[in-house]
Amino acid sequence: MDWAPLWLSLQVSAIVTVIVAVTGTAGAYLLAKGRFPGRGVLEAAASLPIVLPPTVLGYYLLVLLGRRSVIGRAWEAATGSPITFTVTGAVVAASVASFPFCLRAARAAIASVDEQFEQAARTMGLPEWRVALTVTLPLAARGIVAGITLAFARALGDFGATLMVAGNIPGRTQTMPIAVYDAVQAGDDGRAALLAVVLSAVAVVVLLGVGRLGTRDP
Amino acid sequence: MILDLDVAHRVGTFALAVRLRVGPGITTLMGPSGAGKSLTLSIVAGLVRPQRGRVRIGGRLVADADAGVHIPTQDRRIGMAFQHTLLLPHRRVLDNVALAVREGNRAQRRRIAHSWLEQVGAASLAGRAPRNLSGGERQRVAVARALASSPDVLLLDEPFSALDHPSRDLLRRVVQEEVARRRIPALVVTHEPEMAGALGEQVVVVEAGAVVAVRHTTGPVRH
Repeated sequence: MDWAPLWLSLQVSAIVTVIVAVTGTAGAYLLAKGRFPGRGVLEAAASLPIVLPPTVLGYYLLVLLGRRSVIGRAWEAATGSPITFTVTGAVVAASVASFPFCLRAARAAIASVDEQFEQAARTMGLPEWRVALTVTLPLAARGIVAGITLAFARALGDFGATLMVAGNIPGRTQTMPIAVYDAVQAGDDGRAALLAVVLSAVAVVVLLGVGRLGTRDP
Repeated sequence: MILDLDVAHRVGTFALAVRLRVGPGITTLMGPSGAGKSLTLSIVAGLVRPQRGRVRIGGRLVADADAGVHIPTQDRRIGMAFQHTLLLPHRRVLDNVALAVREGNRAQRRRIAHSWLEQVGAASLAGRAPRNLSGGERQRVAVARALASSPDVLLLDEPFSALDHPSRDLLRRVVQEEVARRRIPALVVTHEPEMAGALGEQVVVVEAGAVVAVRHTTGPVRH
C-alpha cells in the first residue's frame, strides 16, 4: 500500500491551515473593523471560491499562475520551479479554496464581540493593535477556531481546484481525494475503499480534537 | 489639572448640553437615570465624539468638534470605571488591573496592580476570573483598574452602587486620597445624595441633558 497521498494531503492541509489562519483572521479583522471604500466588493470577491465550481476556480488559478503568466514566470525565476503541477500549486489551490471559510467565520465572530470591552481597553491606554490582540481576537477565539477548522476540512478534501492547478502526479501532487478518484478509475475498488475510510477517519479525529479544544474555553 | 468641558450632543430625541469647569478634587454628577451623566463621562473619555463644543484636559485640547480635533481615548490619560465594570472576561483580576498600568516592565506593572488591589481590599481576588466575582468585588477591581493607570482625569460611573457600607467608605477614602495626592479632577456619577455629599466639594446636578444646579458642600468627609 502506498501512503504517499495521505502524507501529502496532511502536509498540504497543515501548511494551508497555517496560511489561511493568519491571512483569514487578519482579513476578517480588517473587514469587520475597517472603514474603507470597496469593502463590500472585496468581501464578495474573497467569498467567490465558495460559490464557484472548484474546476472553474482551478482554471482561473491556472491562467493566473501558469508558466507563461506574469506571476508564474516571476515565481519560477525566483525559486527555480514553477507553481503549477507542483506541491506549491496544490498549496495555493487549497488555500484559495479554503480561505473564505475562515474569513467569513472569523469576521462574524469579530463583529459579535461586545464593543464595550474594546472601549474599556482603550480607556486603559492600550493602543489599537493591543486592543485587537488582547481583547478582540481572544474574545472571538471560538468563532475563529471554528473558521480555521472549516478551512482545514475544506483543504483536506479539495479535489477540483487541486487537480486543475497541481495535476495528478503520483508521489508528487497526488493528494488523497485525487488518489481515491484514481483508484476508482483504475478499477482498484479495494484501494479506493481503504483510502476513503482512512481519509474519513483522519478528518473525524481532527474535527473531534478541535471540538474538544473549543469547549474548554470560558 | 483642570477639566474644561463645553459640549452639545444629540442622540435621537435626547439632547445633551453641558458646560463644566472642574478643578482638582472630586466633582459628583447627580441626577436621575437617563439625564446624560454617563454620556458626559463618555465624551470626556473620547468614547463618544461630541457633535459640538470642546473638551480640554489640563489645558490640552482633546476634542473640538468645529476644528475636527479628536484625540483617541488611549492618548487622553484617563482612568475610567464603568457602571457595568467591563472587566475583561478572559483575563484574571490581576491582569485586568496590570493591563491599565502604563509604566514599567511586566513585573513592575504586576506589582503596582497588586498594591492597588490591596488598597481596595481585593488582593485575595488577584488570581480569580471576573465571572466568579460578586458585583461588589467587581466594582472594587474596576476602581483599582481606573486608579492604576495614574490618570490625568478620573471618571467613575456609579462606582460604589453594589458595595456594602464599610466597603463603600473604604473605597471612597482610597479614591479621595489618590485624587488629593495627585491633584487631578475626578468626575463621579452617582444618584445617591448622601454619597454625593460625602465624596467631594462640588455637586453638579444634571437633569434632562443639562446642568441645573452646582452646589458646594462643606467638603468631603475626612477621616
